[in-house]
Amino acid sequence: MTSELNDQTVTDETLVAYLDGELPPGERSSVESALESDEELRERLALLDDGARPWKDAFAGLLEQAPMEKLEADLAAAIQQQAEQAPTSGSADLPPIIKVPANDHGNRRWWRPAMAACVAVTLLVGFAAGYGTNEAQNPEVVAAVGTEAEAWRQAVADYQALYTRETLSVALTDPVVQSAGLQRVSKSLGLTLPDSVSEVGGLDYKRAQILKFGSQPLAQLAYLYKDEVPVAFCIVRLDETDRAASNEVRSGLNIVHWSKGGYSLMLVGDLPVEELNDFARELEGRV
Amino acid sequence: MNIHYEMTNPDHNPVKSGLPEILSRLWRFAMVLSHNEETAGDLVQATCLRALQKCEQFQAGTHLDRWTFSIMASLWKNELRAERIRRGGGFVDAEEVLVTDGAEKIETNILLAEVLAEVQALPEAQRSTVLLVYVEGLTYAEAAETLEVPIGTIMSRLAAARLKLAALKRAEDGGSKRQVKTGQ
Repeated sequence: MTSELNDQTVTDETLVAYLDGELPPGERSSVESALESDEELRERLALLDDGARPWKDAFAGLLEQAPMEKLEADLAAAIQQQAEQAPTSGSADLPPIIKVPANDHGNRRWWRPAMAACVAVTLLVGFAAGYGTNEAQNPEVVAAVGTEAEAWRQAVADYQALYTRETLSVALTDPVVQSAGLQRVSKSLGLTLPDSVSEVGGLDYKRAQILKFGSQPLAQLAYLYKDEVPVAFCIVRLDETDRAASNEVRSGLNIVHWSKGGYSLMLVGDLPVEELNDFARELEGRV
Repeated sequence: MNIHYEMTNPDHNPVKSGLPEILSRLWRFAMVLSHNEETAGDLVQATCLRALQKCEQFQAGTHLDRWTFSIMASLWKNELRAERIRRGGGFVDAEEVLVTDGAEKIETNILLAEVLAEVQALPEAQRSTVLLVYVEGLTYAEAAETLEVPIGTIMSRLAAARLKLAALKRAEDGGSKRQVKTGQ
């Protein structure tokens, strides 16, 4: 066996394995004797040795950069989600890794002032009006901002009106990124959003993010309609009584809104109300 | 070969209890694969979730880190990478992120930052192999299993990586100012 090992059989791979201590003893001594008699091979070995680096030290630096707080929070979310999703069955079928979009740092800052303004309006108008009843809104050009739910819808509409096609063009749409995002949003919201919410025919799903309304986490799922019109599906827990879907217009955008199980939901965008309602019906069945 | 797991008592779930300790190393591997901090974060989370989902398959007493690296490599290969390549221009270019970050944050040792930059400039298959073998200390066989490739592939990737790095070193020693470039 040893004798077979001449210059031609000592490849770079073998030399690297030799340097890495990965060769079995027999092969190792064969390489060593080949090296003794072959200057070219020794040069080759020296070249490959020049490709060595202080690997561990160099990469220790990267370890120190790990965003531990975020990673730990994400892990906690994953553990929680797993606890909720996977009962005691030992099923071999893995739940799909849900699609979730990347969060959008750029837009978030817009939200808070808009929110604050709306909450202020809510308080003022709310106190003045003594809080209206929860009757369905009539579609009208200027909808009221009397209740907390109305203030919420107004805030979302104001925010949505700032969106353009370009706002959503930077969203990362790969499945794993989207998956992690949806899970984060589900976790924050306390409501599982199945990945089917990202698969509404006619709407191109972009991303999900968590915003805040008052102290409540607000989920915003962003879509593009006809590759042109931004559409948002938003959910917040306002503990409204269950309400069937109805339409209204705010900030020049069509809205369909309903509530279920304490959550208030709305779909908003600058598109024909009939189509908006079709999309809403699909989403309503999935959440 | 006993498989120990207890679904009824989460405290005895070695995956759940072991993940916190290896988070930073998972993130490092994710950074080496993805070159992007945000993607790396999501890749770590997706990996943790998948690991928790598959925790029954983990054999207590074996190496959780390798098992989890393997999940991450598979997620990256099968789900994320293709999408990233397809998306193309939308991504920060490979050479930039880590190189800059590394250089900024490891000011104390420029040389180490350069090593990081050199490795990060290697093709993905090579740098992930380098990380597992030279940084994480896996044997060739373990790295082959983790990345689901033959040992020969591990060897040829390491040889190619070393040749590239050796060329860089010799060019530098030759006096001219060095430019790190991707191999492919």
